[in-house]
Amino acid sequence: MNNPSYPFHVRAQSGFHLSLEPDFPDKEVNLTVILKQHHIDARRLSKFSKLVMWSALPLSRIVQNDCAIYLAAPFSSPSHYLKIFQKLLSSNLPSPLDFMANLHNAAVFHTAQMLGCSGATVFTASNGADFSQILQLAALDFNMGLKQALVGWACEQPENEGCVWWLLEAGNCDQIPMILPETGTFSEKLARLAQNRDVWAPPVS
Amino acid sequence: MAYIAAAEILSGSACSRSLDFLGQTHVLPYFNAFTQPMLSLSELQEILIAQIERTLQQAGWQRHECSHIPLFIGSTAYSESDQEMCYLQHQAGNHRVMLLDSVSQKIQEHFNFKAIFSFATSCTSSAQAIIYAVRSLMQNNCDKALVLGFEAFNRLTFEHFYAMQLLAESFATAPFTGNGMVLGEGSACLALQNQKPQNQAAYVRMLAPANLSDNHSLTANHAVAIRHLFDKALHNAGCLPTDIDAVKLHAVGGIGDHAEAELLREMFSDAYLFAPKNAIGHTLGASGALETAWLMQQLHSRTMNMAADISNNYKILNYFLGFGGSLCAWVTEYGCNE
Repeated sequence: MNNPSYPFHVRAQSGFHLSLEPDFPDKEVNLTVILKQHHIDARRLSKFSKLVMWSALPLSRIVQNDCAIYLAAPFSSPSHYLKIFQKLLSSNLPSPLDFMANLHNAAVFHTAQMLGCSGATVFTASNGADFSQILQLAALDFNMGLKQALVGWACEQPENEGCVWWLLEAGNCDQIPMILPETGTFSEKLARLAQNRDVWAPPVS
Repeated sequence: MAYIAAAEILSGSACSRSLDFLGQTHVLPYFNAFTQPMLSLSELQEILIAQIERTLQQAGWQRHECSHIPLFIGSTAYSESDQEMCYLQHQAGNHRVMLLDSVSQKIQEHFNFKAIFSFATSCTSSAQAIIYAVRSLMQNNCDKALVLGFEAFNRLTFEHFYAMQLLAESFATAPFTGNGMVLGEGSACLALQNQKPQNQAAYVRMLAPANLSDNHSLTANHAVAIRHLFDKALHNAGCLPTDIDAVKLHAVGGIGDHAEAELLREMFSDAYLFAPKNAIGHTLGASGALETAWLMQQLHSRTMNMAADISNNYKILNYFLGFGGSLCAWVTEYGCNE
């Protein structure tokens, strides 16, 4: 990114956005299958968690075990939430495993577990007002000696699903130009961010 | 440096809540804080706005300063109670768009804060909010910061915790009794600043905090990770275990209590133990702010039956553990202004 006031540079970007993947029908099922191919049992996870994990997977080879993870989203998984909400309120039926999968920070936990990271994990609510907020939190930790961080933006809404991760490393900003979109809704900004395909990490083999 | 200039708390008193499970009604202990059994979004926002106003007044800050002050929010459920009320009123569907920051929108309209950060890291939500507020102050990103933690009763949490057999059937009289959690609701607002407050007889200083993640289990914190957390918090604060006079416990009454108690016996055997959850319940994502405000009350009133008198530079280790492997800790130092 081009802001020299940040104490980090962007080493790599990885992401997934529905608008860029027209040949990816039935994403929830496909994501479970793809994650299974990488030895990740995602059957009990929310669609949001799967989306977030799948998007981070290409970075797994270069993520260090003390990497911190920061994720911003308007909500975690609306589809998963509605499922347990309606089951409870209409039929008095709690579903504990689904409840656990519905934790807002479940996605960062599963991502940390998948990547073997033990740095701080943070999930913040963002409706798009300021995409740089999550970078500000990471900057505070880089100033305290953090070496590497995954910073991401994610959204699970019909026709607006996606997640973009930046892998940040300590040091001054370098050559990779990354621009944060300043206008639009959260999902519009996310879609624009995802279009930086030329700097994406290599696809998972 | 970061000092607590004011702490406003709205905590619950020992009551009960009922639920229907498999055709049977169960009555369970609960700490009720609000007049209404469930809060609508606007009721919650009004309570929080009034609490921020009182905190500003207590700290001696002016409302117009808010444009230079960031607000750090932490909650688990955010506006879940409102979602449930809407559902019941409209009978299926028609509930509002799910946005976690819907609570903060009216707060922002009212105060025009420099920025609002909304944390959702399960039971450490407002503890994480405190950590990033303290770091912002220590790095001179701001001179003043506010932290707001809140949790309002909702069925989704209460009934799922019950279904997972996490809830106690009766109030606990001591920490680490291990018979389950007693949940509670409430809110607290902390005013933090990087100058020592001069208008108070005593001060509370927050030393460099620590946060890390435990990727071992989504719901249970591993003893190794808790030890790592304590070590990191002590290191950041420049303290040895023997420097710690007291510990503010997490001690939810769950399966993790045993490992926690063992570790505390090993590392802080002489420290006095503060157990806020016995007094105000487990307020989930609000517990960071509520328990810090509660601790401030205890320190200032000096009414606790302390093992030793609170002396100058009295150091307390505070720690908070949460689902999703989120762990937070810091040391606070209590001292008297000369």
